[in-house]
Amino acid sequence: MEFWKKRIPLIIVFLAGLTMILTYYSSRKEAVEILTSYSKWYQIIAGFALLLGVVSLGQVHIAKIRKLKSGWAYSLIMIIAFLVMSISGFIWGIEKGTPFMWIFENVTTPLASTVFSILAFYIASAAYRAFRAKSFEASLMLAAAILVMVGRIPFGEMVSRLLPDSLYFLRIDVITQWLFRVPVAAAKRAILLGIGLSSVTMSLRIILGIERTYMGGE
Amino acid sequence: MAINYDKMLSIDRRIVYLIIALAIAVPTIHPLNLPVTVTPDVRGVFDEIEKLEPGTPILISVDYEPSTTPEMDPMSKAVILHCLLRGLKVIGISYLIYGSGIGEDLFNEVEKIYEEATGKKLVYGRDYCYLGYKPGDYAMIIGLGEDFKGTCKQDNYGKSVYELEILKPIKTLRDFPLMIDLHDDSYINYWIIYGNERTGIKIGSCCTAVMATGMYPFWRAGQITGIVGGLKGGSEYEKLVNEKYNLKRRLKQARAGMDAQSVIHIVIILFMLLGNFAFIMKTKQSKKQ
Repeated sequence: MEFWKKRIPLIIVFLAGLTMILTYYSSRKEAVEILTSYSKWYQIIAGFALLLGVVSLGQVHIAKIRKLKSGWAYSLIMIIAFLVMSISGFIWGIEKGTPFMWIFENVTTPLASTVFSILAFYIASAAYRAFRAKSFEASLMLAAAILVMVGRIPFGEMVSRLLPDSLYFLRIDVITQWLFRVPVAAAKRAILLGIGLSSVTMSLRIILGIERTYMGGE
Repeated sequence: MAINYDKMLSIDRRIVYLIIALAIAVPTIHPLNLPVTVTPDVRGVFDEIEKLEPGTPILISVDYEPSTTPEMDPMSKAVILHCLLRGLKVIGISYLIYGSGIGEDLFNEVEKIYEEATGKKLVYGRDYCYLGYKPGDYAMIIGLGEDFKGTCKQDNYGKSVYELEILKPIKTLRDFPLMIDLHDDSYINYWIIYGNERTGIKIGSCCTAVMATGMYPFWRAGQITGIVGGLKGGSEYEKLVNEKYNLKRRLKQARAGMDAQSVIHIVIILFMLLGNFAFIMKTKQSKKQ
């Protein structure tokens, strides 16, 4: 049992991981064919994973409705919405003019946009109540935020144009661009490098069988 | 008369919300028509499209969700319209499941704008096509890099990709000199890693303002040709398209939104300054007492 439950998955992961690494860096025809097959397998497995996700989602919400747990009404709405969208898509298709597309255009999109746009109100309220220059770092962040906010709108450019050409480097839009291109790009690059190195480490641990939490337990 | 800074700091949030609502509504109803200056980031995408000869295929990936359509749609329309006006063969695809509906709407709308602006008709399958959502995450991109039609199989409407005239010369991602990613998240990273790095396809980024800051390392490294970020980027792109093609119906959706955004930025800055002023004065008052 140990062999089937532990060894076989480890061998599969090791071989799949190694093959992906080797074929990714090779331009030989055989390597390309293997990589293409792998990507198709992945697409098929991802399709099944999607199905699994739908089943799991249904199970969680149906159980919540049955037991009348707190917020069960939201689960009911979720299930109804899911069924309406799925059934209308299966029966009438998803092209323009179908009920599926009508719901997508007139319910899904406006609802999602509305929720997202509410952010502007929260940001304004939070900016007034919480964005305080309590320390040097907070003051620096406040100054950078103001500069970027002014620099990213035409008003900033209009004000900046009042400066003489000799003081070009003091224009708000120029400072904003510099902030984006130098400090922001450098910080973002450092984060990306960190993520990249961590991903490589974790991938190697999984391929070599050191990290086994994905199999459950340990 | 002494100012009560405590009261000033604990202002009712409904007043803040009301001011914000007015700051958005007024410039939307009465546009301010603020001037737009084109930045090199946006020009990087525009110029790369201009460099392509008419008839060249271009891939557009619609990778954003319904929540960001108000910010993404104007620039997406401007970029797709630009490609069509340039005479490029536009092939749409999506990395996201939402892209199926969003992309369909987008292409339908751009088709209408194109016909109104030029008086010419576009033919689906010859001038443009939309392949819709393709599952498989980054494996889908690897697949496109090796066997484009084998990976896509059908367009968004269930038609075989082998029947589409526009896709006849396309074998792999290498047949596209350029792709534009319309994205509201970091999906472009996969296009860079598995698209640009493996096949050499150039990539232009059109994204939300929040995402734009994260694109600068890629731009500086030459992995993307330019960045059209948020409504500001969209308004700059609209200006470039309007000026270059002298359209009968001028693009102005992003620019209209930019007016409201400009006012809202100023209002938020004033809130921040006012909040800090009250905070500093209150601290001083407390020290005195």
